[in-house]
Amino acid sequence: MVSCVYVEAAVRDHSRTQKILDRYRQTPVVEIEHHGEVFNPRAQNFRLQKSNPALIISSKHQRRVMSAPEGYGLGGQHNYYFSHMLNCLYDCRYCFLQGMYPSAHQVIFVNYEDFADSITEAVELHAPDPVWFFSGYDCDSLAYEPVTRFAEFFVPFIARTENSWLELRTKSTQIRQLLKIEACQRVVTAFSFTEAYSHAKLEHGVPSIAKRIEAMKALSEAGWPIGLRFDPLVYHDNFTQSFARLIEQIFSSIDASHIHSVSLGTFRLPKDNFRQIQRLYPDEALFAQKLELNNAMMGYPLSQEQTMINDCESLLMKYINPETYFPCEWYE
Amino acid sequence: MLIWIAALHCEAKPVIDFYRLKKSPAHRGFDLYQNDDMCLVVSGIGKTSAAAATAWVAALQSTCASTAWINLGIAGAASHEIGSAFWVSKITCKSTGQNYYPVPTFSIDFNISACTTLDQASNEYQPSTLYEMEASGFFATATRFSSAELIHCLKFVSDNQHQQSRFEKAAISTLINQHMETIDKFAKNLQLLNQQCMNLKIDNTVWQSILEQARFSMTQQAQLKTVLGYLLSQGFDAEALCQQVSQRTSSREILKQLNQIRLDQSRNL
Ligand code: SF4
Repeated sequence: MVSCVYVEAAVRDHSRTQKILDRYRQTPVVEIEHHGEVFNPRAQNFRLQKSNPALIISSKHQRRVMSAPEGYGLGGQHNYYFSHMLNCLYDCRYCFLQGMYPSAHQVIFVNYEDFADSITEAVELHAPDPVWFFSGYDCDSLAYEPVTRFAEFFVPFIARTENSWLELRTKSTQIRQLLKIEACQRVVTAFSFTEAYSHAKLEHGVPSIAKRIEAMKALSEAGWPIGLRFDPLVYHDNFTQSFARLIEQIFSSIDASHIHSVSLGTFRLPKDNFRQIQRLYPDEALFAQKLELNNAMMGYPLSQEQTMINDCESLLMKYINPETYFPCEWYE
Repeated sequence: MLIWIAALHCEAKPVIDFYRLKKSPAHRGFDLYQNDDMCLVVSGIGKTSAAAATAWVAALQSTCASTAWINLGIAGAASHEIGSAFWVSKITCKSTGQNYYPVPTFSIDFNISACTTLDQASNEYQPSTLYEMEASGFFATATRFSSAELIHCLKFVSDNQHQQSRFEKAAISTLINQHMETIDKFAKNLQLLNQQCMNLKIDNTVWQSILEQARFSMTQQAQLKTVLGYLLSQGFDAEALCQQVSQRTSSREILKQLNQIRLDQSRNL
């Protein structure tokens, strides 16, 4: 449910806008000049909005495809990210998006063809090297697929653009679109998991672990490369046992040889994001845990972080090919 | 606290009567009516008066942990029926061109419309907007004190292209009064939302009684606020916490003890 749909006047007649509006016939539509008018004002409360956010339909004119931060990647030399959406359907309490934007409204940029042009430019710049494009940095790549039809457009586009690779990052089970088309080995669908206890406590609105494993299985059986992202790892007394159960659950369904890449990282947030999020959620236990500032990031004390990583790595290595493992230098 | 701003007494009257608000004899500057959890200010006509009244009452209520706002009044419309009621989704200040967007976070039983705030009354009508004279001044000022989800405008059509004659005061009150049930439902939802914000703040009396236990530096006060905010949200009793730390003599020790309670409590999420 969205509370209201804001539409930029310039994209009101765009075919993608019309399709989205068709889904929200009962929802009030408000015309705006630019998404920043609604999205950027400071006097907004992310937490209050998150319970019933609005949808903003917009187009992105600049900086559509950006260089990925240092350390972000899966072994490729050229890494970019792009966001067809800002904000997410789900409500994970550790998510950095909460402190990133003043608004919890979901922005959809409908000018996919312009994004595709920017991707083509980046590919041509580095030809013939492979170039990675990461979606799902400012949103979940697939969660809103029935509305955005993001994969429906971008996956076939990547498939026909030589040397381009795409990571779809998701916690959703929205794989129907992918199952309709031939698997592309250059499109990796990376599923993020936290173990069951943290999932129950912190991932509000996210489909169950079992449902996501089912989706992952269906995709891998259809020949799609699958990624596993155990990020963030969140501490509690039974963390290691709970994590062991999670990977057991995953690898009892998924053939490890179908796994393209695995990464893991502990809970951490940039200092300023952390402060902002803690102000929004002063009642949240996650932010009241023992955390320290390291390299401008708030996270678990380094020794605790290392123990968590080591424990998880040794559990994982029982199942996966070490070559597919990419220790995670970033956070979701 | 819920604050109502209305330009005219006749617009305010249905709210005053419905909630049995009492006129405050102690306040001058603007007429103020109040009960325990809401107050209403009669601002006078125009966006400057609305802005002044909003700032004035915000200063009066500055000790409130969180404040919600409703601007209620009549508006002109091209073709909407006289007496129809609207929640305003977009406010455009005619003279500056600035747009403002109240944020809907609960279901709204009113029709929805944009509105344009004029500097002077006008008989020009456009189908896409209501016309009135206060909303932009009210909204721009209220967002300095509260977040946009807590600030709303409700407008009631008093004239249109076909019927431009000015209403009598009593008729304006009647026109708004017929929507009082829906207005009340809206106000209750808004108060619930405001309560959510208040629940996350530390009560001033509790805060003062903790501060009295030792001398806290500004940095320590910020840390104390975070620790205390978390513990109170988890159902810890403020008095019991004060009692527990009363043996500690220094601010550092108090913080250390409260922090330990917090770490124990949050260890398993
Ligand atoms: S962590 Fe991912 S799935 Fe969760 S709210 Fe953020 S973007 Fe969405």
